[in-house]
Amino acid sequence: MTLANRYPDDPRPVVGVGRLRWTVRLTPTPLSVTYTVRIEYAYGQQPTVTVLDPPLRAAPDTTVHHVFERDELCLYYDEFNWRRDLLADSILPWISEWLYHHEYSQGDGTWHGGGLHPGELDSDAPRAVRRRAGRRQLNRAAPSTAGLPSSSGRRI
Amino acid sequence: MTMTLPTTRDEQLSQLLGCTVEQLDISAEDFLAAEQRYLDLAKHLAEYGADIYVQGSVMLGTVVSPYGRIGEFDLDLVCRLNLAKTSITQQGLKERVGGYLTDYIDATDGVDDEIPELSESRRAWALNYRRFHMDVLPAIPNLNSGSPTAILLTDKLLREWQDSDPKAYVAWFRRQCALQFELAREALAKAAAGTVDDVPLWRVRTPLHRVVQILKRHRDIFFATDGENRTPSSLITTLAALSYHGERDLLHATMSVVQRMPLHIEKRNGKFWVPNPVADENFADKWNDYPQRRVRFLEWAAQVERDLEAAATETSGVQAVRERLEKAFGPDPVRRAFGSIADQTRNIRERGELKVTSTGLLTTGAGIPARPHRFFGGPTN
Repeated sequence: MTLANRYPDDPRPVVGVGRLRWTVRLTPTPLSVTYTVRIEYAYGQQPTVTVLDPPLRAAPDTTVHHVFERDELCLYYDEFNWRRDLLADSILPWISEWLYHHEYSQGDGTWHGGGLHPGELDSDAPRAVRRRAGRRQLNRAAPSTAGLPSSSGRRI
Repeated sequence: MTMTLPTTRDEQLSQLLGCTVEQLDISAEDFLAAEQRYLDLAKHLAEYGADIYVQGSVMLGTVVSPYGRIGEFDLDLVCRLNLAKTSITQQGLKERVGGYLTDYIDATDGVDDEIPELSESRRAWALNYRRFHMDVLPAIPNLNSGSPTAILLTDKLLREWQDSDPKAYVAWFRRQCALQFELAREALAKAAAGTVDDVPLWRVRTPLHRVVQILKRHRDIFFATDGENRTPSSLITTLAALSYHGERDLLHATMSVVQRMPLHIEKRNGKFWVPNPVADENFADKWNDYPQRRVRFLEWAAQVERDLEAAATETSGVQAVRERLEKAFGPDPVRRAFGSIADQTRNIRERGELKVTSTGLLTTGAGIPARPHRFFGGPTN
């Protein structure tokens, strides 16, 4: 399995019929904390990536950029093709890059990683992309002071 | 110059420190704008036999925008008249230069439609533009010194002429980082595809230059509500230059310098002395009149060390490091630094040079390439 070969220090992915669930630990910079990230992939569908730990939060008066609901990361537009691409080669580096820009945007809330927001989609984008893009993309605001989201409440 | 991605904690922190003071440094465009303004003044005052030149931190390459006035710069200009000490008093010299400046403001068309305003300053006179504030220091030659560039300045209280030699001081400062100065100069020449002689000397930045900028900015924040006891830049610059031993890593350089600085404070006949290395002047003179200022200096130096140590050993991640840096250096330049570094990291990916290792570390070394993509949309690069 390519993923396990590439990332030997992480637990081996859990593989089912046409499905894969994998947890990986990523540290984007020497000063960063280590993030525990879950990837779920069903054959023929788009992979979903969520950060299990630590909880994604925004600095006060800023937002978390480029996340779907339930803190699923928005990593690409139409650049991942399940027929052509391996997760290890494509998605994994983008996850680290996302984490990096998340960390580096916390000062003034500005995302420097590039990308697009909803409303800027091409009308001739592939149908799968438009369907996926139809999901509400959030720029999630900082949580209220009532309490921080706990990682145990995350979907598995 | 292209940024590289750090592989160690110290490298990353050094990069953040350097980029933070870069936000406060004078750009080539700003220097040109300042130069146009003082050259306009120089042209007019040449008629009176006055020689105008820039000295101080802009010439040294250690300038930082004042706290709360990002994008503005304070410049020191020497206005040297070829007069004998016996022929004029300090008051007389000051008034004469004031007259010349008044005439200048009346006569000039200004630069970029900007005509400065004249005001009295700490030492003598200031010309105030929107973003540049030029202290004009009246001076005459010091013929008793061995140095051809030695001058006598008007003292603030006009008691005695003050010995100075700004041009010699700049030369001395560059000697304290001579090797790094040449390396930095060559690197600038290479980047501009020119020769070393094409590089204006004020543009060269060695780790010592950056250390002085870091220390001055930290000082600005630390003494923000204690202006009276604020350690003067001349003291910081001189002590730092004496304490620099060629370190290249900024974090290490700043820590080492701040630890060694107190060792260079002399005591002569019961008085504290930090001699000007090129003129007969005691930069620590005020410490003998106001002992609490020396105490505050030592407290400040200890705080620099504590702040850097805390940032270097922070285990709660990048946000926590950023918060510590914002507290020590002010949020504005720190946030711009993070943004600037993140932009350059995006550029690295857009050039196809970004890789990621098996632990998720972003690198320009060995790893899995990050392919072109857009975080949810945008033209593929």
